[in-house]
Amino acid sequence: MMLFDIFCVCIGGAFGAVARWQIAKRLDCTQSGFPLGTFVANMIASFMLGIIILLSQKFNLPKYIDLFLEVGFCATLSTFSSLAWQIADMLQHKKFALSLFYASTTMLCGMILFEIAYHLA
Amino acid sequence: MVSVAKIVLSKRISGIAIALGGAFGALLRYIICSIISNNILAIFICNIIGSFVISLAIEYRRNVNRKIGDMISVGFCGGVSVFASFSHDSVKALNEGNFSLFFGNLFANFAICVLVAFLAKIIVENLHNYRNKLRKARRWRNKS
Repeated sequence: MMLFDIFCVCIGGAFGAVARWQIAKRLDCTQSGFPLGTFVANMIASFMLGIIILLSQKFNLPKYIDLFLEVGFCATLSTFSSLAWQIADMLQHKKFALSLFYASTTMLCGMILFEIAYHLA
Repeated sequence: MVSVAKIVLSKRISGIAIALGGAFGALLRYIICSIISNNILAIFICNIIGSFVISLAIEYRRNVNRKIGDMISVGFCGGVSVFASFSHDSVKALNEGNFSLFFGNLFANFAICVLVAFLAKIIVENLHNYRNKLRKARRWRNKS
Protein backbone atom coordinates (compact mmCIF):
# COMPACT_ATOMS: atom_id res chain seq x y z
CA MET A 1 0.00 0.00 0.00
CA MET A 2 1.25 3.41 -0.96
CA LEU A 3 0.82 5.05 2.44
CA PHE A 4 2.73 2.31 4.22
CA ASP A 5 5.58 2.62 1.69
CA ILE A 6 5.80 6.34 2.46
CA PHE A 7 5.71 5.57 6.17
CA CYS A 8 8.61 3.11 5.90
CA VAL A 9 10.71 5.56 3.89
CA CYS A 10 10.04 8.38 6.35
CA ILE A 11 10.85 6.33 9.44
CA GLY A 12 14.07 5.09 7.83
CA GLY A 13 14.91 8.64 6.86
CA ALA A 14 14.34 9.89 10.39
CA PHE A 15 16.66 7.29 11.91
CA GLY A 16 19.32 7.76 9.25
CA ALA A 17 19.36 11.53 9.69
CA VAL A 18 19.68 11.34 13.48
CA ALA A 19 22.42 8.69 13.18
CA ARG A 20 24.40 10.80 10.73
CA TRP A 21 23.88 13.89 12.89
CA GLN A 22 25.36 12.17 15.92
CA ILE A 23 28.30 10.71 13.98
CA ALA A 24 29.04 14.03 12.31
CA LYS A 25 28.65 15.98 15.55
CA ARG A 26 31.24 13.87 17.30
CA LEU A 27 33.76 13.20 14.55
CA ASP A 28 33.57 16.05 12.05
CA CYS A 29 35.82 18.71 13.57
CA THR A 30 39.30 17.29 13.24
CA GLN A 31 42.54 19.20 13.48
CA SER A 32 43.49 18.65 9.86
CA GLY A 33 40.14 19.81 8.53
CA PHE A 34 39.19 16.40 7.17
CA PRO A 35 35.47 15.87 7.85
CA LEU A 36 35.81 12.48 9.50
CA GLY A 37 32.19 12.22 10.65
CA THR A 38 30.61 12.65 7.23
CA PHE A 39 33.25 10.32 5.77
CA VAL A 40 32.54 7.57 8.32
CA ALA A 41 28.77 7.93 7.86
CA ASN A 42 29.11 7.66 4.06
CA MET A 43 31.35 4.61 4.37
CA ILE A 44 29.05 2.83 6.80
CA ALA A 45 26.10 3.57 4.52
CA SER A 46 27.89 2.31 1.39
CA PHE A 47 28.86 -0.91 3.14
CA MET A 48 25.39 -1.38 4.57
CA LEU A 49 23.81 -0.77 1.16
CA GLY A 50 25.97 -3.52 -0.31
CA ILE A 51 24.82 -5.92 2.37
CA ILE A 52 21.16 -4.98 2.01
CA ILE A 53 21.18 -5.32 -1.78
CA LEU A 54 22.92 -8.68 -1.43
CA LEU A 55 20.35 -9.87 1.15
CA SER A 56 17.38 -8.61 -0.83
CA GLN A 57 18.59 -10.43 -3.92
CA LYS A 58 19.38 -13.67 -2.09
CA PHE A 59 16.47 -13.90 0.30
CA ASN A 60 13.84 -11.89 -1.53
CA LEU A 61 13.18 -9.48 1.36
CA PRO A 62 9.70 -7.96 1.60
CA LYS A 63 9.27 -4.58 -0.01
CA TYR A 64 8.68 -2.64 3.18
CA ILE A 65 11.91 -3.82 4.80
CA ASP A 66 13.78 -3.01 1.59
CA LEU A 67 12.26 0.49 1.56
CA PHE A 68 12.95 1.10 5.24
CA LEU A 69 16.58 -0.03 5.15
CA GLU A 70 17.69 0.93 1.67
CA VAL A 71 15.69 3.98 0.55
CA GLY A 72 15.14 5.18 4.11
CA PHE A 73 18.01 4.41 6.41
CA CYS A 74 21.09 3.88 4.20
CA ALA A 75 20.38 6.67 1.79
CA THR A 76 19.76 9.17 4.61
CA LEU A 77 22.79 7.97 6.56
CA SER A 78 24.90 8.84 3.54
CA THR A 79 24.85 12.37 2.22
CA PHE A 80 26.10 14.05 -0.90
CA SER A 81 25.07 17.59 -0.02
CA SER A 82 27.34 17.79 3.04
CA LEU A 83 30.15 16.33 0.95
CA ALA A 84 29.63 18.94 -1.78
CA TRP A 85 29.45 21.78 0.74
CA GLN A 86 32.59 20.61 2.52
CA ILE A 87 34.51 20.37 -0.75
CA ALA A 88 33.23 23.81 -1.78
CA ASP A 89 34.35 25.16 1.61
CA MET A 90 37.80 23.64 1.16
CA LEU A 91 38.08 25.11 -2.33
CA GLN A 92 36.99 28.50 -1.04
CA HIS A 93 39.73 28.44 1.59
CA LYS A 94 42.19 27.31 -1.07
CA LYS A 95 42.82 23.89 0.45
CA PHE A 96 43.04 22.24 -2.95
CA ALA A 97 45.06 19.20 -1.95
CA LEU A 98 42.74 18.44 0.96
CA SER A 99 39.65 18.76 -1.24
CA LEU A 100 41.11 16.40 -3.85
CA PHE A 101 42.15 13.95 -1.13
CA TYR A 102 38.73 14.05 0.52
CA ALA A 103 36.78 13.65 -2.72
CA SER A 104 38.93 10.82 -4.06
CA THR A 105 39.09 8.99 -0.73
CA THR A 106 35.33 9.17 -0.26
CA MET A 107 34.65 7.95 -3.78
CA LEU A 108 37.22 5.15 -3.82
CA CYS A 109 36.51 3.83 -0.33
CA GLY A 110 32.77 4.01 -0.96
CA MET A 111 33.08 1.89 -4.09
CA ILE A 112 35.53 -0.54 -2.47
CA LEU A 113 33.34 -1.01 0.60
CA PHE A 114 30.23 -1.53 -1.51
CA GLU A 115 32.03 -4.11 -3.64
CA ILE A 116 33.33 -5.94 -0.55
CA ALA A 117 29.87 -5.97 1.03
CA TYR A 118 28.17 -7.14 -2.15
CA HIS A 119 30.57 -10.05 -2.57
CA LEU A 120 30.54 -11.18 1.05
CA ALA A 121 28.48 -14.26 0.30
CA MET B 1 -0.40 21.22 16.30
CA VAL B 2 1.08 24.41 17.74
CA SER B 3 2.23 22.58 20.86
CA VAL B 4 3.94 19.95 18.70
CA ALA B 5 5.70 22.71 16.79
CA LYS B 6 6.75 24.30 20.08
CA ILE B 7 8.23 21.04 21.34
CA VAL B 8 10.10 20.42 18.10
CA LEU B 9 11.60 23.88 18.09
CA SER B 10 12.33 24.01 21.81
CA LYS B 11 15.85 24.38 23.05
CA ARG B 12 16.47 20.86 24.17
CA ILE B 13 15.00 18.46 21.66
CA SER B 14 17.02 18.90 18.46
CA GLY B 15 16.87 15.28 17.46
CA ILE B 16 13.18 15.44 16.64
CA ALA B 17 13.68 18.40 14.32
CA ILE B 18 16.47 16.61 12.49
CA ALA B 19 14.44 13.40 12.32
CA LEU B 20 11.56 15.33 10.75
CA GLY B 21 13.89 16.96 8.24
CA GLY B 22 15.37 13.59 7.36
CA ALA B 23 11.94 12.07 6.92
CA PHE B 24 10.87 14.86 4.54
CA GLY B 25 14.10 14.66 2.60
CA ALA B 26 13.82 10.91 2.19
CA LEU B 27 10.19 11.28 1.15
CA LEU B 28 11.03 13.89 -1.50
CA ARG B 29 13.81 11.70 -2.82
CA TYR B 30 11.48 8.70 -2.97
CA ILE B 31 8.89 10.75 -4.90
CA ILE B 32 11.51 12.06 -7.35
CA CYS B 33 12.89 8.55 -7.90
CA SER B 34 9.36 7.25 -8.49
CA ILE B 35 8.58 9.96 -11.05
CA ILE B 36 11.81 9.83 -13.03
CA SER B 37 12.34 6.43 -14.57
CA ASN B 38 16.12 6.72 -15.03
CA ASN B 39 17.39 6.04 -11.50
CA ILE B 40 20.80 7.61 -12.01
CA LEU B 41 19.29 10.81 -13.37
CA ALA B 42 16.85 10.93 -10.44
CA ILE B 43 19.69 10.59 -7.91
CA PHE B 44 21.63 13.31 -9.73
CA ILE B 45 18.67 15.68 -9.50
CA CYS B 46 18.23 14.89 -5.81
CA ASN B 47 21.91 15.62 -5.19
CA ILE B 48 21.69 18.94 -7.05
CA ILE B 49 18.70 19.99 -4.97
CA GLY B 50 20.48 18.95 -1.78
CA SER B 51 23.71 20.72 -2.68
CA PHE B 52 21.91 23.94 -3.51
CA VAL B 53 19.71 24.00 -0.43
CA ILE B 54 22.51 23.06 1.96
CA SER B 55 24.51 26.16 1.11
CA LEU B 56 21.48 28.32 1.91
CA ALA B 57 20.72 26.32 5.04
CA ILE B 58 24.23 26.53 6.48
CA GLU B 59 24.27 30.27 5.97
CA TYR B 60 20.85 30.42 7.64
CA ARG B 61 22.19 28.29 10.49
CA ARG B 62 25.12 30.66 10.97
CA ASN B 63 23.15 33.87 11.02
CA VAL B 64 19.50 33.32 11.87
CA ASN B 65 18.47 30.18 13.71
CA ARG B 66 20.80 27.31 14.48
CA LYS B 67 18.09 24.76 15.15
CA ILE B 68 16.13 25.33 11.93
CA GLY B 69 19.34 25.56 9.93
CA ASP B 70 20.41 22.21 11.36
CA MET B 71 17.04 20.68 10.56
CA ILE B 72 17.25 21.77 6.93
CA SER B 73 20.94 21.08 6.35
CA VAL B 74 21.56 17.91 8.35
CA GLY B 75 18.01 16.62 8.10
CA PHE B 76 16.41 17.64 4.83
CA CYS B 77 19.46 18.02 2.56
CA GLY B 78 21.07 14.92 3.95
CA GLY B 79 17.87 13.04 3.28
CA VAL B 80 17.42 14.33 -0.24
CA SER B 81 21.01 13.76 -1.33
CA VAL B 82 22.52 10.30 -1.24
CA PHE B 83 26.04 8.96 -1.61
CA ALA B 84 25.47 5.23 -1.09
CA SER B 85 23.37 4.91 -4.27
CA PHE B 86 26.09 6.79 -6.12
CA SER B 87 28.64 4.17 -4.97
CA HIS B 88 26.26 1.42 -6.04
CA ASP B 89 25.69 2.95 -9.49
CA SER B 90 29.41 3.57 -10.00
CA VAL B 91 30.33 0.00 -9.12
CA LYS B 92 27.55 -1.37 -11.32
CA ALA B 93 28.67 0.78 -14.27
CA LEU B 94 32.29 -0.33 -13.84
CA ASN B 95 31.32 -3.99 -13.58
CA GLU B 96 29.33 -3.71 -16.81
CA GLY B 97 32.26 -1.98 -18.48
CA ASN B 98 30.17 1.13 -19.09
CA PHE B 99 32.95 3.67 -18.64
CA SER B 100 31.10 6.58 -20.20
CA LEU B 101 28.28 6.14 -17.68
CA PHE B 102 30.78 5.83 -14.83
CA PHE B 103 32.70 8.97 -15.71
CA GLY B 104 29.56 10.85 -16.66
CA ASN B 105 27.93 10.02 -13.33
CA LEU B 106 31.15 10.90 -11.49
CA PHE B 107 31.47 14.24 -13.25
CA ALA B 108 27.80 15.07 -12.90
CA ASN B 109 27.66 14.33 -9.23
CA PHE B 110 31.03 15.54 -8.05
CA ALA B 111 31.81 18.41 -10.37
CA ILE B 112 28.34 19.86 -10.94
CA CYS B 113 27.05 19.41 -7.39
CA VAL B 114 30.22 20.91 -5.92
CA LEU B 115 29.94 23.79 -8.39
CA VAL B 116 26.30 24.38 -7.42
CA ALA B 117 27.17 24.28 -3.72
CA PHE B 118 30.13 26.61 -4.27
CA LEU B 119 28.18 29.18 -6.28
CA ALA B 120 25.24 29.13 -3.88
CA LYS B 121 27.64 29.49 -0.94
CA ILE B 122 29.39 32.51 -2.47
CA ILE B 123 26.12 34.20 -3.45
CA VAL B 124 24.52 33.69 -0.05
CA GLU B 125 27.57 34.82 1.89
CA ASN B 126 27.87 37.96 -0.18
CA LEU B 127 24.15 38.67 0.07
CA HIS B 128 24.63 38.87 3.81
CA ASN B 129 27.57 41.24 3.46
CA TYR B 130 25.57 43.39 1.08
CA ARG B 131 22.73 43.59 3.58
CA ASN B 132 25.16 44.65 6.32
CA LYS B 133 26.61 47.34 4.07
CA LEU B 134 23.10 48.58 3.34
CA ARG B 135 22.33 48.71 7.05
CA LYS B 136 25.55 50.57 7.82
CA ALA B 137 24.84 53.09 5.05
CA ARG B 138 21.30 53.63 6.33
CA ARG B 139 22.54 54.10 9.92
CA TRP B 140 25.18 56.58 8.80
CA ARG B 141 22.62 58.47 6.76
CA ASN B 142 20.14 58.56 9.66
CA LYS B 143 22.80 59.79 12.04
CA SER B 144 23.88 62.77 9.92
